[in-house]
Amino acid sequence: MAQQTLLSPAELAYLHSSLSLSPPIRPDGRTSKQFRPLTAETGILPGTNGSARVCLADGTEAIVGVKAEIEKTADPLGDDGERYREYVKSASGVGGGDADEDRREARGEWLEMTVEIPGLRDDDAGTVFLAELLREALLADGELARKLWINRRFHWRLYLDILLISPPLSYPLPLLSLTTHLALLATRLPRLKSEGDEDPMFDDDWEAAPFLYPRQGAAAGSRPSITLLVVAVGDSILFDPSKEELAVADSALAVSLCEVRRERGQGSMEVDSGRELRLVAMRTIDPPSRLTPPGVPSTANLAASGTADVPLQQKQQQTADEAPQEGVWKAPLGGTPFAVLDSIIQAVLEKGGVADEVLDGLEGVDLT
Amino acid sequence: MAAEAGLSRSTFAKLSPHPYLLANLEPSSDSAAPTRSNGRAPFEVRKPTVNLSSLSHAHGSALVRTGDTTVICGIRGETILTEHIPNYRASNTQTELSDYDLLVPNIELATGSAPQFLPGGPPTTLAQTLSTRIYSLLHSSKLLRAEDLRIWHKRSAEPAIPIPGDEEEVMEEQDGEPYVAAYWVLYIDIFFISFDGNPFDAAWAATVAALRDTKLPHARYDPDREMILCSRKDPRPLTVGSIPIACTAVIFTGNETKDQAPDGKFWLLADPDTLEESLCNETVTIVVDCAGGSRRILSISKHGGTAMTAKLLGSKDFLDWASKRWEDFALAITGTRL
Amino acid sequence: MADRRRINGPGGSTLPPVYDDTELDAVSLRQRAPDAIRPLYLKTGVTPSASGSAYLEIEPREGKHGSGMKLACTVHGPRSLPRSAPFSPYMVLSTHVKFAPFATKQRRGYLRDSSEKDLGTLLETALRGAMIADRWPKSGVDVVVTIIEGESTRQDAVERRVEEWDAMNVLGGCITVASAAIADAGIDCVDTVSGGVAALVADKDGGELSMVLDPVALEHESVLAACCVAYLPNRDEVTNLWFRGQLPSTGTHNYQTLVSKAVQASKGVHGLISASLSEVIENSQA
Repeated sequence: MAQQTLLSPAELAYLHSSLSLSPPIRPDGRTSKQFRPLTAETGILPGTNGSARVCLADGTEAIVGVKAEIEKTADPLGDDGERYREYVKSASGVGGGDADEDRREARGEWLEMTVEIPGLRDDDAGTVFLAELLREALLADGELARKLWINRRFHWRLYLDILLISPPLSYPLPLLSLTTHLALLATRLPRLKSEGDEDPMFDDDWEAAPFLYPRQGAAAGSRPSITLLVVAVGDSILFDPSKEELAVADSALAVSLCEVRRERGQGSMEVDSGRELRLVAMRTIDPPSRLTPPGVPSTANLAASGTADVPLQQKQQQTADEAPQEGVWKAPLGGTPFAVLDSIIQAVLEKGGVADEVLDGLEGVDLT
Repeated sequence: MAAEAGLSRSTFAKLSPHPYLLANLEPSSDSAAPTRSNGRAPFEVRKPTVNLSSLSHAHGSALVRTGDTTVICGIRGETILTEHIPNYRASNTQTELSDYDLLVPNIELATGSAPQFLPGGPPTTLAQTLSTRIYSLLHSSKLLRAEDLRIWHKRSAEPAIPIPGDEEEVMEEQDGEPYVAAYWVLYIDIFFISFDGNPFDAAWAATVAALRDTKLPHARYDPDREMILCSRKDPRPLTVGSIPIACTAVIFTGNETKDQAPDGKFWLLADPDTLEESLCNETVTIVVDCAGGSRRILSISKHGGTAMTAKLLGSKDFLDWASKRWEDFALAITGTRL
Repeated sequence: MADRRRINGPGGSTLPPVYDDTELDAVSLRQRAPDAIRPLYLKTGVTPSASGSAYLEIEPREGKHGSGMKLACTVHGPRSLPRSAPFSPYMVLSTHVKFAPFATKQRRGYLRDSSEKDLGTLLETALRGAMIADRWPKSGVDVVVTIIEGESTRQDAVERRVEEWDAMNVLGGCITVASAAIADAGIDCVDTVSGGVAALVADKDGGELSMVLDPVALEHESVLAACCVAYLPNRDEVTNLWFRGQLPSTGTHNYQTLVSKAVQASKGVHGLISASLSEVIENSQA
């Protein structure tokens, strides 16, 4: 998703050096670990099982709707394939082993996800990449798919429609991830009345419908994952980069984490004491900085210096050794040392760090 | 001539390929034999090599290489119940293959096999034409028997649970009428890894070789589940008796703008490469099967230009060349001289 | 809607064969040492008309029914961008990853699906960091990877849902084969990038966890986490990092060791690429 930035090489160089300072000076005055303020609400779409809207201070806005449908679990051997397979196994006496495997076998394909970004086709490689990234993060812990299991013959199919309703002013990944998180937290599925493997019957009282992710009680285990976008500029690590900051980033990493709550005693009133952050997925994002125009040092710039007779040899040498010059913008080359990636991950997973702060913030959103 | 103009051989070849090929075919000295730009004699073909069963997911596969043209063909069988065939008629026992579309060949050139074939767009006209030619030749050559693709079942009075592996016994016990419950559909996917002219010969040879390599699993209809169940034990090969081989040549007239050179002179270039194909607009393809010493012609197609006469098409030289090429391919496909 | 430019076959739906007997050979467990990668066969110049090309074959375990991988890659360019394209101070890289219809257990269609597009984007990220793109302004390069054979031959793989882990192996192979093809095309890179995969696996239920290089998901009881890196060995830098799964919160198996194992795997692969490339150079000089 190469977003064209309209910054000149000189501006890029200035931005890069001010972000590399310790502490970095960000254009909007934030600290390196500060998120942009956002407003969030849930339950905005009455026709869905759960929905959320998040609006970022820079004007980008996303809505997510969750719809659930019941679907028959397809078995490769037909309707009673399960029984038949067991029959074959017992008859042939070989290939057992998985006969007593966990019956709550869940599949990732039960979650269907679409991402829509204005101005981009939905089969655009960048959009597909975003959708796969979010999907992978949600499914990585296997919890979500397990929640969709009804019985051995039926499951829920969850449709997650993620819409960016403003133009993509910055890389929309964190925004879409937070909105999806909230929408899933607000999702309720009708209460199951039937038992066992019979055809599912549901309670039509919406008030009785339980949350997909229960808030209280012993079942309050996992939470949907969130994905944070972190960039490294020089030695600084910046969270929630704006479009301009992304344009000068040396490397960008999408880190997905999942909060796991340990079961607490009844008396425990603290909300986040049992929180444990777990890394579930990571992907390098191609930083758009690689596509920014390079600066030309004034010594080599004929128009500026006016000396047209720079020896050709010298010019060639300049391009050959490619030593980065102070104050002249040059797009980053090569990869990222692992030490930098490691410090990014450490910063994300840090106790009481940014991720905790974000999760606390999301905790405060009223679920309706 | 080239030396006087200060051009190297390769520059001359690149700048004006047409005169270059003409100069090669009409050497100024009598001592040099006429050769093509690629160093071959006009009637010399590239030697084919065939590798069978190189893919593990396909039921049959073949890799065919002639010079710099490399093709992989993978064949996969899938089943279709007769009740899902819209125009199914039980009385039809003659034209099942074409009526029910049981053979599905497709050619993919857009693997970057040549600079002009890049992925991202719809299949090129050439790819579509080639797929259609393979499709019609598969049907017209009667290469496959419909019987190999039928999956039979005996209708029984009372449904019995089939015992896996004992299919024969069950069939004998019931005295229902046997009927075709389903068909195999063969998906024939032909991928070009490298493209250097003469795609049809290579693609067709790969198709024939892969079909000869195809082994379909034993299949039977399960009336309880209304589906086809297969067994992995000793799969059954298709019956492909004949080995029809396509032989393509292009006609080079030495005249860039008109079809016919003023003096009527032309050269027949066998097994053309990309460069030669781009310089000639008259092509002839003859599909022959010479098994058992007798030569059978399955198809002749000739497009563009008028240089190739009926007399030449029927000439002994031309037909002997086709026989020779058939022998080369048959040897490469079967590993033995037929 | 049916694609009218291809031959689509019968109108009704066709089903791949469903087997009701077990597979002939039993699932074999990993025989290699945990830090050994499978042997590779790499050949460049398979498509002479392309600027660069390579063919990579990862050998199956043993016997005919192993899960090997066969990949072909062609590189076209650098060549001038079409007139309609906007000015670019750099070489514009575009990557395509496509599975052949016969590459996997389920027959694939001819149109690229989302997993193929996703792999294409990941490959692009891995390659872009390695290429010195400012040496070719206003030009474009196309990297096309065709997966002739993917992993997991067996039906078990589908039933046991291990195939999702194969995507990492496929990406690792794509990076390696594309890197060799780019070298064959003579496009300047800061280093030869190579792909490596490592995974945290459990061999028995609730058994000992171990980390293995170049994992084959089918050879293990379960895969807990896996990581694929694109690595530049001479600069000690990572151009693409893809991690997924769950690591135990305690113990020595953390993401740092997993990434370093993946880096170790890619170093091994890098050795094989350089050996293969230098062999080509020696042959051309001789």
